[in-house]
Order: sequence, then C-alpha cells, then structure tokens
Amino acid sequence: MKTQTPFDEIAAIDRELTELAPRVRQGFLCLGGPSEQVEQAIRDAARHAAARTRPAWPRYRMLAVAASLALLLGGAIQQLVSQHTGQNRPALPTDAAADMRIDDSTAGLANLLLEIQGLNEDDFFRTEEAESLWL
Amino acid sequence: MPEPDISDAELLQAFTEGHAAAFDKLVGRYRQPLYTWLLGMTANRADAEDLYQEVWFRVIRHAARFNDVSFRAWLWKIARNLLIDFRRKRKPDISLDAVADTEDEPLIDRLAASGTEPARQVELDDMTRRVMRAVATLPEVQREVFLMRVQGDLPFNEIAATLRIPLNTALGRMHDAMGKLKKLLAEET
Repeated sequence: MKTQTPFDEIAAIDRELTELAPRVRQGFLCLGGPSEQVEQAIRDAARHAAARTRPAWPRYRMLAVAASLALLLGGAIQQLVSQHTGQNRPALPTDAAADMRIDDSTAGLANLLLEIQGLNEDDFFRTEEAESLWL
Repeated sequence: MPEPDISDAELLQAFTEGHAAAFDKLVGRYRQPLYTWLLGMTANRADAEDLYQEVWFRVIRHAARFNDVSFRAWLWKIARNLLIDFRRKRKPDISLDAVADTEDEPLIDRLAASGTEPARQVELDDMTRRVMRAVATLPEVQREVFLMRVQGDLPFNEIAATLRIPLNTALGRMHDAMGKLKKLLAEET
C-alpha cells in the first residue's frame, strides 16, 4: 500500500472541505460581525498610533527650513568677515559729511587763488554787471 | 477580497510609517474570519468582541516589531495567546451547542437571534444550522484547527506553527474533526 504524505493528506482534506466549508462560513456570516463601537475603538487607536509615528513636518519642509537657516548663517558670517576686514563697508553718514567739508574747503582755496591772480570769473561777471549799473 | 497588489506586511509597514488608512484596510481583510474564529472559540458575543478588540490593539502596539513570515499566522498567534489568557482568568469553555440554564435554546441559536443583521437570519437554512451545531460539538483542539483552516484560511503549516504542534498533529486533528462532522451530519439525516 502506498504511504500517504502530508501533502496528499492536505489535498484530501481540502477536497472534503469544498462542500462543508461554504456552509460553515455562511453560518458564521449570519452571526454578524463585531459591533460598530468596537470597530470605532480600533480605528481610533490606529489613528492615534499613526499620528504619533508620523513626522510632524514633511521632509521637503524640513529641507526648506534647513536651506533658509544655512542662508541666514552664511549672511551673518559674511557680515562679520566684512566688518573685520573693512571690505564692502557701507559709507556712514559722518563720512559723507566729512567728504563734503573737504570738497568745500578745496573750492574755497581755488577761488582764493583765482582772486589773487585776478582770474576769478565770478568776480569778472560781477564786475561787468556792476559796471552797467554804474553807468 | 484582499487586493493582490498590496501584501499584509506592506500595509503593516505603511501603518508603522504613519498611514492609518493602511491599518483600516488590514482590519477589513481579517474582520470576519478573525471575529468568527473568536466567536466559534468563545461561544459568546461579548467575549469575542473584547478579544477581537484586544487582538487589534496588540497589533497596533507591536506593529513595528512584526517580523514573521506571515501576518495572518502572527495575527492568529496573538488571538490564540489572548484566548488562552482569557480562559485562565475567566470561566471554562462553553460549547456553542450548550443549553443555557435559563433559556431552553442552544447558544448557536441565541447567537443567531442576537445577530446584528436580522435579514441574514433567514439565510441560516437547516443544513447550515446542522453544520454549525456539529462544529460546535467538536472538542476544542479539533474545533480550533478546523476553524483556523475554514474561517481563517490558514495553511496547515501555519496552523501547526501557530499552535506549536507538528504538522502531522495538525493534520490528524483536522482529519478527526472532519470524520466527526461527517458522522454527526449523517446521523441527523
């Protein structure tokens, strides 16, 4: 007699089950499923657990924040370096005033030299005007 | 019917990454087989519901630790362990066919009568009722294997692994259960 292997036995059982199993399934199906209250409790627990494991911010937002921080940090470093080396330092208002004073004194000196030499054109025109009035 | 493109393990993985909808899908796949298996083992709707809920709570808690080959086998392992704990703490097993003290009606009929879907009670024809009664009279070790195969659709090797018994023992129990069912049904006709 041929020895029956577990594989043969499984096949034989499954063949026998083809008639019985649908009846059992149908019977249990008629008994209904778990209540809505239980199902809701499971859904709530799953939502709660999923919310805990989900990262608060999506990855691309984290990247954007990291890039912004890197830019800010870079700007701050650049500013510090510029202050130390004196390069790219913006002109301060006091410096501008000093420049203007230098300009004024230079113009005054030039006028004085022109007057000494009798070449001051301003005086020349004023003289012309005075002449006409005088006449 | 389970979608063939997404496996149970993938759904569980998605859940551990924060997708609750994946878990809902997983629960949907095993709602009926798991619940009815528990109902068949406890013969009590309230107990079956408590255990069913606790099984899924445990899956939620230990989802990240899942490393079994089969999610289905893991699920039934959890369910069976909880059932064993439940029995240790509570009353002994009551047969589905047992007659309650106060009501002269087998539990199987009372369960059907208290079902949430009254329209389906009509569908419980005589033959199905007889099969259910016959299943209810099976010894627990046989009923466990029989319902795991029929309701849970577990392959025999997974049933054996879940129950921590050799494959031949699982097949033997199933064989005995089938023989008993055939005999019972033949006697009734």
